[in-house]
Amino acid sequence: MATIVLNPPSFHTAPSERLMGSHAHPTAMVDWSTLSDAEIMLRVSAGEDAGFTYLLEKYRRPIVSFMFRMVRNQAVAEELAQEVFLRVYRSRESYRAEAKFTTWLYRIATNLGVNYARDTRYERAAQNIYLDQPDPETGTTPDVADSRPTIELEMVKDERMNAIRQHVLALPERQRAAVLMHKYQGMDYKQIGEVLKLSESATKSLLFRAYQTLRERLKDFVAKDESDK
Amino acid sequence: MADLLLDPQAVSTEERRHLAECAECERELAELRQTMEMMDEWVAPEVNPFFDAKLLARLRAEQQGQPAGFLERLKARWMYGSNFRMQPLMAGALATILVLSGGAYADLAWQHAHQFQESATVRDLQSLDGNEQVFQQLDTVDQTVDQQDQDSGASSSSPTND
Repeated sequence: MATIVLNPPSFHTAPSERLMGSHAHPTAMVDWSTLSDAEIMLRVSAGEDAGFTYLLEKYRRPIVSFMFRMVRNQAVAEELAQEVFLRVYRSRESYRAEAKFTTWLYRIATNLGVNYARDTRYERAAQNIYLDQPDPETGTTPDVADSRPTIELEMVKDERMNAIRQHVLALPERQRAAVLMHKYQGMDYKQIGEVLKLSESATKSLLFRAYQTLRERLKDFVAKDESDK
Repeated sequence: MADLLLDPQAVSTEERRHLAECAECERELAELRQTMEMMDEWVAPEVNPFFDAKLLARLRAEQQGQPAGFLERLKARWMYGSNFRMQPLMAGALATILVLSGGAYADLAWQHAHQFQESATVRDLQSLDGNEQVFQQLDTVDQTVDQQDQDSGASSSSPTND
C-alpha cells in the first residue's frame, strides 16, 4: 500500500495561503485531521481552499503512484495526477457527501489513466525494446551482457520486474485498474466496485480473473522465485 | 476460490474443509498468493519535488480563470458523480426510450401490414379500371373499322351515273 504523506517539506509554511491567495476564506485554524475527507470536501466546496491543500497533501503520493502504474511513465503520471487534482478542484461544487471522497478521486484518476492508455496504445507498443532482438535501424543488440553474478541477479530481477509491469499493463482496462487499486492502493473490492460502478460480486469476479491471468503469465517467475528462496 | 483470495472472512467452513482436502485447489491458492506477493516488488518512484509548485501554479490560474460552465459541471457530475443517483435516472431514461421506440415500432408495423392489404385491393381496382378503358378503346376501334367498311361497301355498290 502506498504511504500517505501528511507533511512534505514544500508545504510546511502556510500551505493554505499559497493556494488561496487574495481569495482567502476567513477561516480560523482548523485541524483538518479531525474531519473526514467528505467533510473537508464539503468545506472546500463552500470556499475553504485550505481543506483542498490538506487533501492534496494527503493523496498526492497515492495518486501519483496509481497513475505511474497505470501509464508506466513518471513524467506522464505526474502530469495526469495534476489533472486529477485540478478536476477535483474544478468540480468541487458538484461533490456530494454520499459519494466517498476516495471513490470520487479514484474514479477521476481511473478515467484519465484509461483514456491516456487508449490514446497512446500504439505509441507505447512502438517504444518496446526487446533485449534479444537486434535494433532494426542499427542492427545491434542492446548492450546488457555482463558475466558478474550480481549483475546476473540484477538482470533476473529486472526481467521479473518488467514481466510484472508488462503483464499488469496488458490486462483489460477494468481488470488493470482493479488490480492496481487492490494491490497497491490498499482498497478492498467493495471500494473498487464503487469506483468502477460495479456490483460487489462483479468486482470480486473481475479481480479474481485478473489475478488468475497474472498467475498464469507470471508462473515461471513465481517458480524461479520459490526455488531461489 | 475468489473469496479465499479476496475476502477470507466470507469463506464458509465447508469451503475451508474442501481446501484442506483438495490438493489442486490448495496449490492454485498458494500460486495466486505467491503471484500477489511477487507483485510487491513493483515500487513507484518518489514524487518530483516540483510537483507541488507546478500544481499550485495551475490551481492559481484555475482560480483566476472563468468558472466552469453549466455543461462542464454537468459532464463532471455525470462522469464522476455517485452512481447511486445516476442509476435510477438512467434506468428511467432507458425505460422511456424503450417504451417510445417500442410504441413507434408497433405503430409502424401495424400501418405497414394494413398498407399491403389496401394496396392489393387498389391494384385490382386499378387493373379493372384499366381493362374497362382498354375495352372501350377496342370498341371504338371496332366501330371505326365497321364504319369504314360500310362506307367503302356503299361507295363500291352504288351505280355510277356517268
